[in-house]
Amino acid sequence: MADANGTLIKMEGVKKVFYTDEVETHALEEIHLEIKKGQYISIAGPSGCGKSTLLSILGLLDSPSGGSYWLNGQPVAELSTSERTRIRNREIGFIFQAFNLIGDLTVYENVELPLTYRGSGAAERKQKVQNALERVGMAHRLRHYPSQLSGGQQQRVAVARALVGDPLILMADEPTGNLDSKNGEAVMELLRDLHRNGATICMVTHDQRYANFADRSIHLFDGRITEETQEAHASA
Amino acid sequence: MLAKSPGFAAVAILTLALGTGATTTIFSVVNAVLLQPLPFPEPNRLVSAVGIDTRNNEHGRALSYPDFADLRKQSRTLESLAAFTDADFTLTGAGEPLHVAGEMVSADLFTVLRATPELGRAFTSTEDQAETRVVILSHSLWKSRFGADPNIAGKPIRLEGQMYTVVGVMPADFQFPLDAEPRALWVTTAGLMTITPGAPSDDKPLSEQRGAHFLTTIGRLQPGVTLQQADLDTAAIAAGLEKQFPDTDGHLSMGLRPQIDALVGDIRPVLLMVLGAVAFLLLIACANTANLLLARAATRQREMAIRVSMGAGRARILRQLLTESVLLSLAGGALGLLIAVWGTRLFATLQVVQIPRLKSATVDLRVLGFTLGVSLLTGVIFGLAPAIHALRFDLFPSLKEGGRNATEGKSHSRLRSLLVIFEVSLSVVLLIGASLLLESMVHIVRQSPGFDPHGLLSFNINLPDVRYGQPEKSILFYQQLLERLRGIPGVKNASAVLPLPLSEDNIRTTFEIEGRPVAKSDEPRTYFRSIDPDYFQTMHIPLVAGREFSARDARDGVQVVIVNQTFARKFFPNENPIGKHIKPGVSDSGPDKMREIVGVVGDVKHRTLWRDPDPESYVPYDQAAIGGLAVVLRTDANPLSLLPAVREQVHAMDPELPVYAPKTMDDYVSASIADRKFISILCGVFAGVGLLLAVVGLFGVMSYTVAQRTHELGVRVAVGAKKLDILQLILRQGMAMTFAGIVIGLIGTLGISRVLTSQLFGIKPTDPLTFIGVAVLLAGVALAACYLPARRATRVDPMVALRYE
Repeated sequence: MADANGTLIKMEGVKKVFYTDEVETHALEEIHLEIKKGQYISIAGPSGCGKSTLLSILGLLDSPSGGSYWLNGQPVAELSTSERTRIRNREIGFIFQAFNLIGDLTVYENVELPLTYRGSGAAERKQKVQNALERVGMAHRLRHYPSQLSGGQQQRVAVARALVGDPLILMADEPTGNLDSKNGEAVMELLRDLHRNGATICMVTHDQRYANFADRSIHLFDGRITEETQEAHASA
Repeated sequence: MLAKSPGFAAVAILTLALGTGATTTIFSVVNAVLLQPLPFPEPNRLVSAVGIDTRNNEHGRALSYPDFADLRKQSRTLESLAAFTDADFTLTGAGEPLHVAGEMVSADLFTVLRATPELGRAFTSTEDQAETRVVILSHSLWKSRFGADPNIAGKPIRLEGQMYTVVGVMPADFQFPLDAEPRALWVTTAGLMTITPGAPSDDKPLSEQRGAHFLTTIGRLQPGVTLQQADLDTAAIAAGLEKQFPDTDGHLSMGLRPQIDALVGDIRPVLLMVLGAVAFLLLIACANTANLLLARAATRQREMAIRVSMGAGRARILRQLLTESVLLSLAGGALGLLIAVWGTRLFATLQVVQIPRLKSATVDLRVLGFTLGVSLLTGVIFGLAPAIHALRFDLFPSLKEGGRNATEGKSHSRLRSLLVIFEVSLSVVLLIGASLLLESMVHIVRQSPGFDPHGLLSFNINLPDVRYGQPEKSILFYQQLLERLRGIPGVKNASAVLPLPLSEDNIRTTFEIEGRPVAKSDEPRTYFRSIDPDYFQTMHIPLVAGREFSARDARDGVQVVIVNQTFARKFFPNENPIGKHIKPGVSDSGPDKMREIVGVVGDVKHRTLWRDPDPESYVPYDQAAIGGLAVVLRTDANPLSLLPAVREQVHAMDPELPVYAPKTMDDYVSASIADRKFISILCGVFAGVGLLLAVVGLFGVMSYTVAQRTHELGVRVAVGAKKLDILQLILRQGMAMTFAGIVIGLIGTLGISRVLTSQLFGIKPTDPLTFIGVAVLLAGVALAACYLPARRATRVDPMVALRYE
């Protein structure tokens, strides 16, 4: 649950430093960010600006080198690996640029995966997978393998996998990066529909057209937030 | 390209070297023992005539001299036929008395073999006649005892107290018989034409005793005659003899078999079994290498794509990959050859193993050809599949995506999995086979020979007929000798026996049971031993009923016999055999006598530890002084420490009698199982190496899989997979392959278990405990092999899910 203000994510002074061969790379500096429940936020910026690093920290795939991070009111910067895994599984849904579907698993099994790791019962899994796939319009391809689907279809399945566990927030990393413009548009429409139905979405993109789909846009440059805009259509 | 991947090349070459080295070693043994022709001209024409008991189809019985002589005379299909039997001699008159192992041969032996002495001449046909004493020396005796005297031919030497004329010296590389310890000399069968000096004059010489089967034969087929034709001819002659001499030749046929079979027929299935085992090992090594090649092929697809884009034809690339795999296998073969040279030398110097011609095992041209062939074949066969797989890629994605997972599809991983399953299943077969053999060995070792072999020393003395031919003289000699030996400090008991248990010497005779008349040819048979009265106490053979022999069982007393339990059970079931009478053909002079059974003793495994005891009868030496006895002494000390005192006592009685073949009875027991032990341990080693290779293969595939699946694992972790989930995922994959291999291996073992049946003792080829044990062992080892990659998998960083390139 979000706190009383509806804040789902709060970052204060978050930074990330990478050390390679005695060289310090400051990927993120002094990130202050608040995302409220139901918001659709895009993180934009040029290549190497720290977009994906920020997303990985937001998604608990990585931990910050400094600063504080609260997810749903809970400080998560210092959590153990297993705690982060648990939170990732239950409260965050990921959509990746490369879809990241598992080739040896069917559409159904791919979508079922987060629920399997959560330990949900078979009946619950079946119902939720079915619902998720219906939401993305892929319920008719349950038994197909990823290699039998187009790129757009694969990303729809990936969205279903992100949705299936009813997460607090969807994290999308360049969700259209591997798609042609038609399929890219379709996926963005899907995300907009999900947002309209209440989903909180945090999306990384370098494409301004798709950044405009969000109701709030953050611009990163050299690891710092340089600009933040509210899109007028977002409240429509 | 191989030089750029030294680690990969080293692992592949070492794996192949292990497989090729072991295979080549065993092949060099098979080559020496089974494949090399006999070292005589036209060896394919050499055959052996053997007796066949038509009642039980028992092949390989020795022939009597009259039967041999009749066969030689009547055969139209044999160009020549010679007979031979071993004979011990005491050589005196040229230094210290020396015991030498010799062979008594019919004069035409050297004609049959087409062997020519290096000095002097071979025997002439007239030198088989009675009272002819001629000898041919071995090269080694000629050198060691006679200083390589070039004028030795025509000179007399003293054997068994009698003068023999040396007629020739054989070349250094001549050995006959091939399956026995090297002979020091050869004499003719003239000694069979006369009765033992001092024996009653109505005795027949051995050359006239058709019931005395003791001769081995070697013959040469007439040119153009097949073995089958000669075999039929021989059987027809035997049928005529059976009609003519029903008492002695009833139920007796004769047949021919290739001489090479007579020499190595028994060991052939065993060696072929070992060769099969080592072939499995080679296959495991090859599968391992194929897997390495497959993994490497997957990482080289970008390289292949670039080559194709530069215009290289796929056939050309296939050639390059095959060249690399063949180079690998040739390098492995070369290293394997070094292993084989070492292994073959090791085998050839093993003293305990009695496999014929093993000592001549060497890496010759045929073995080299074998290694080369195996190396090329493995290089092509196991390089082909990975090479073809390496070429199955889509050019554009391979170039664009840097080769990562470009075509890493199901067929790749399926082939790798199949190879691992194949390895595991072969390993199961090897492990079960070796386990069964080793368990059999344990059962055999646990078998009691029927006497207590610890603390027993045995040795032989050869009493020359010329001085001890009369039974009374040899009886007196042994009585006095045993008295002296009992007086040696540390000797608890002393006795003597002929033949000694587990010495490979055996005497079998027919006997008549009083009140149960049967035709002479239908008389039952018993193994027979002539013993000193203290024998059972010295050997700790338990008396089951009746009494042991004593001083009252003298030569002129009541004729007595003691039988073993098997004899009693077989011939007197539900009866008390004590007091019954039998008449075995064991008289040392005059007609056989009816003997009273005065005792029953425990069974002794006289022939081998793994054969059921045979009906056995013991007669006091005083009443059956049929030859020289082996002396046995019991002590609490180290048995061999008694030898100096023993030699002193024997020398004091007769300075011309050398003590020979001094051995502990523990040594006899060990020697009797040495071959089986060697084979079992060898198979055990192969199975161990096979298991190691299979597990290394599994480990390699799982490690590779984890490396290949890093991205997928990262995705799984990103969507919430816990460490345990990842651990289970990887273990499940590895164990699925393992279990598939185990199941196939178990089924395969059931299919070929009959191969093992003849080599097993005390355990069935389908022993469920062994099957379960091997399956559990393999599953456990495989689990350990999968665990490390699985643990590594749990450390995959979920961040990899975000990395696209």
